[in-house]
Amino acid sequence: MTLRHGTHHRGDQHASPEALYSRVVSPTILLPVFPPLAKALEAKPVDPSAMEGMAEIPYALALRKVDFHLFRTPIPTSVMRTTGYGPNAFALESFVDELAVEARADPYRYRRALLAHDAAAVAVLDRAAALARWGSALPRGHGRGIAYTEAFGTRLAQVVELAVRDDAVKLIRIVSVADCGRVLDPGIARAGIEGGVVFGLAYCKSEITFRDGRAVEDNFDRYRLPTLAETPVLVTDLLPRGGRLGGIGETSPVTIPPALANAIFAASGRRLRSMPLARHGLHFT
Amino acid sequence: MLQLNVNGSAHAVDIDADAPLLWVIRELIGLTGTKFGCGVAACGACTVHVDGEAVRSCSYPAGAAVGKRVTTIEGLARGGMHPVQRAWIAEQVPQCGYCQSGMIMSAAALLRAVPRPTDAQIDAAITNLCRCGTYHRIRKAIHRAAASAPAAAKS
Repeated sequence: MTLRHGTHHRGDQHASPEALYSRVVSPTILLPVFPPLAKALEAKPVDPSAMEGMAEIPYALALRKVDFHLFRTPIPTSVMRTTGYGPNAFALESFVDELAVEARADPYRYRRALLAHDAAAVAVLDRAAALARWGSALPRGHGRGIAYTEAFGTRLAQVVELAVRDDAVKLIRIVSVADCGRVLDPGIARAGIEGGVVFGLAYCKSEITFRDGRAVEDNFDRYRLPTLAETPVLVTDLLPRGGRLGGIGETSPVTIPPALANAIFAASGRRLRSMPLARHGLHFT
Repeated sequence: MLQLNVNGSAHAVDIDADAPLLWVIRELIGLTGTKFGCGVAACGACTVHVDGEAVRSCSYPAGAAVGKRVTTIEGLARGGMHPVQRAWIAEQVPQCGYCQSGMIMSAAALLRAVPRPTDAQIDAAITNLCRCGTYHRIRKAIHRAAASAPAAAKS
């Protein structure tokens, strides 16, 4: 992903990007769950699911271009929880964080300015920042990271608070605030968000690799899931505005990887542009 | 032929001594509340008690349980409900539910050994995996069970 940054003076808190150019490279994830896509893919090799969260973004950015390259691989691929939103939110929300740093702006206020056109989005972001005590002093080596998305008809902001010591990442609190429209069962909605947070942490912890035509991580002794000991305090809130039912379980993991990476940057100055942590010699503790 | 005591009942099972206890429990005795997860003692879905200790029955030889008391999720409460089960309901812990009987057995064994565990003690004892990510509520439910029925937790 590349971006042409708006001209601004150093220290200008209102500096915002004026154009965004993104290039998405992905195998098809929709075809296995929606076989009728085959014909369309032949005519035009664009997977609409893989574009989710990049074709449309929540921020006010008039000048945008998105390229898509279909990655052809013999390995069967399909959707994982978050579908295209997860990988694209990692790219976008990590990049927006880098822009905020470049503009010497607070990452929360920087996003807030880009969302000013949507009062509901600002409300979600503000509630998450308040619950996370955004801006309050933290010990050395601690940091908070924020990320925002609109996915599956839901607005979601998450703040990860953690401590980095050498190669160990200790999660302290994760705040999630969602506006999913109408809530039928708040208990189930909260549980779905909490579980999705842990699912998002799994994307940050482990990956599946292949060797000699087989998955190396073929069981839970090699594919290492998050554990209870690694799970931080979870603070979850709903700001339902009524109307359409938005997704919860699929939405909640979307912004965990970027919020985590942004928190690691805040804590340590290390910018992770890929996941999982193990690729960078880091691990949860 | 192995003589096993499962949930207080005597069972004679025709199986090798090194067969997994989980196989005996599910396939020969027919108690299917205990689940098969990974088969390599990595996930804990198969957790049962042997003489009150939590063991991962997928990797525990049935012969090693001879002369001991085996307790599965079906026998945890002996009528009524165990305080851990009540706390699980109060905190609405389960999502898909698959790992939950193993989780409950691990939690019950912890509370038997440590009636009022700290977060650090819970972290150390509950190493079962939950793909739904219910850990946050498991922690809350263990604290609730510890607070609500310290006497019963020792049983």
